[in-house]
Amino acid sequence: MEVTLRASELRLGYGAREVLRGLSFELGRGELLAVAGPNGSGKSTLLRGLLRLLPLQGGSVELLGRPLASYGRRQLAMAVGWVPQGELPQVGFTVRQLVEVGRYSRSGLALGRRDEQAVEEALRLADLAELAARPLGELSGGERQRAAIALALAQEPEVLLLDEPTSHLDLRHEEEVACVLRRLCRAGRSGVLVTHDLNLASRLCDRILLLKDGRAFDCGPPGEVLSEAAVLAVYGVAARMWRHPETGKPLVLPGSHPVV
Amino acid sequence: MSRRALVPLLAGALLAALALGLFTGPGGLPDELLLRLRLLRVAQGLAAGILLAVAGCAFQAVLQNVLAEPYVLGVSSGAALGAALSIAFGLSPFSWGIPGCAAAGAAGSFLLVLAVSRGMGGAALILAGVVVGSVLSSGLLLVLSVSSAEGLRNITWWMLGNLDVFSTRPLILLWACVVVVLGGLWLSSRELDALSLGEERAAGVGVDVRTARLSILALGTLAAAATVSAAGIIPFVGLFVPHMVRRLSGSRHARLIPAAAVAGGAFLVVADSLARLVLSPRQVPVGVVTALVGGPLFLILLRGRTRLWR
Repeated sequence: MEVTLRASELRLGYGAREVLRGLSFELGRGELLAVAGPNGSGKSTLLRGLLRLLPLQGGSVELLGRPLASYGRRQLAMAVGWVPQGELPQVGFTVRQLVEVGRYSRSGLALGRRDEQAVEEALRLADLAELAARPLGELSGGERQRAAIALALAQEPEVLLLDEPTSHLDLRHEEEVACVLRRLCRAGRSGVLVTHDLNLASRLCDRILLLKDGRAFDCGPPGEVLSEAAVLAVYGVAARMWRHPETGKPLVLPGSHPVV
Repeated sequence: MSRRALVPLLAGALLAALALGLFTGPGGLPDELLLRLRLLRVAQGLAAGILLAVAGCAFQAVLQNVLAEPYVLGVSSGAALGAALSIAFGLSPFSWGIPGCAAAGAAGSFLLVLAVSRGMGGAALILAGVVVGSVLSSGLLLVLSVSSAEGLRNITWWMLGNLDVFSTRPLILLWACVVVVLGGLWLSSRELDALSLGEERAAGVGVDVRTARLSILALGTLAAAATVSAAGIIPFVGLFVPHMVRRLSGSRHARLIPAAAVAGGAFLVVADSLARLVLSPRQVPVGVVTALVGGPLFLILLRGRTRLWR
């Protein structure tokens, strides 16, 4: 499998406070990797480091065969798309105008034909083509989150970093976002999905990277990584584990007693 | 109102404002001289209105705050203190002294705010602006309290804002600022679009946030400092005009900036005409008119608040 992103012994932190203490992992092309772990374990810090918003304190990152440090801000935006945590602010853009902002790194002062094609493609991938002329303020939460993803897709990045993109969405809207992510990976893009939702990670992602205290506790396919013992060790919570009757993927419920 | 109406609407407003500014008001002077005086005054009003309106757009986007306006970083207090000191120390209002000291005060307060909030985000910048502004305002009160009666009157009159033109050279300088600020902000319109989504998202699409933010804030502050130095403190134009125009032009800055420039210029020329006409032959400070007119209009906009940002 072709590797798009490789982190070796990555160390990141804020001043003297080290959050990630030697993390190594790889991301393959077309792969969706979930990053999970307790609050403060370094999930969002990892994404900020990969975006060069935090300087590396140690280790190295290789993106598409080049050291991360060799990327300028614009070049990085062409390789990596980012969907930060939280809702899009209430600005007066239409969906299309928002997605066009994603062409910043690739276009000049005005958008050309190539840019318009990329915007159309991003809208299509995020299933927003019919809502393109809608003001953002008139969208549902799920549609707004898909618009945020389309903004990142207009950058035509090889890698997409998503920070809890479904945390404030209901089940249906979460499923909409999940569909978009699956479609992207089939189209050959790779993704790193930071999430608190182990069940979402299990059913959606190819592998799960479980963080504890700034280090990798385990990394592998959901069926191998998720176990009652792992959840207890990482989160300090007793949990019960089931297998999905059809897919065989693990399902986690906290609490040692059966839930009625 | 449809967005297609934007260009004819703005053109109409500008023409009406120019007509009002050039052909109304008390007479008593030879026509040619009167027209020349009014022309200078209209030119000053246009320039100040343009600067305040586009600076408001820039500050609102970069600080992601709908309440941001050109004086948000304490510039007006710094300028007022500079001007008050120069008046208290007896510099003539007809020379470069007052505008020069006001500009120095504005620049000083901006640099102080930047230094205090270094390395922190937009919220810290606004807080630093408010605090530095209050401290400088207290300094202003101190100067006022020890001023002579005439000094007090001159300082107050200056602070209320007026568009009297005493010579053409400061006016030329003001228009040079218009070219720099308007051009610079229009060329930054894609950065402004991205920054209005927040600094993290702007960095994500490839904007060098620190450089872009600093250059845009510097342009906005240059606009505020130039207007304050030339015409005193003129409130509400930088707050009200961007909000009003955004509803017609949309939020994309490539359209918003030029539209706000035209609307801001026209608004201030109309406000200044009212200032000359309402109590004619007495003059009302234009800052009083912009607040009296802009305030209620802003409240009307606020009633349709959900549409403010659409």
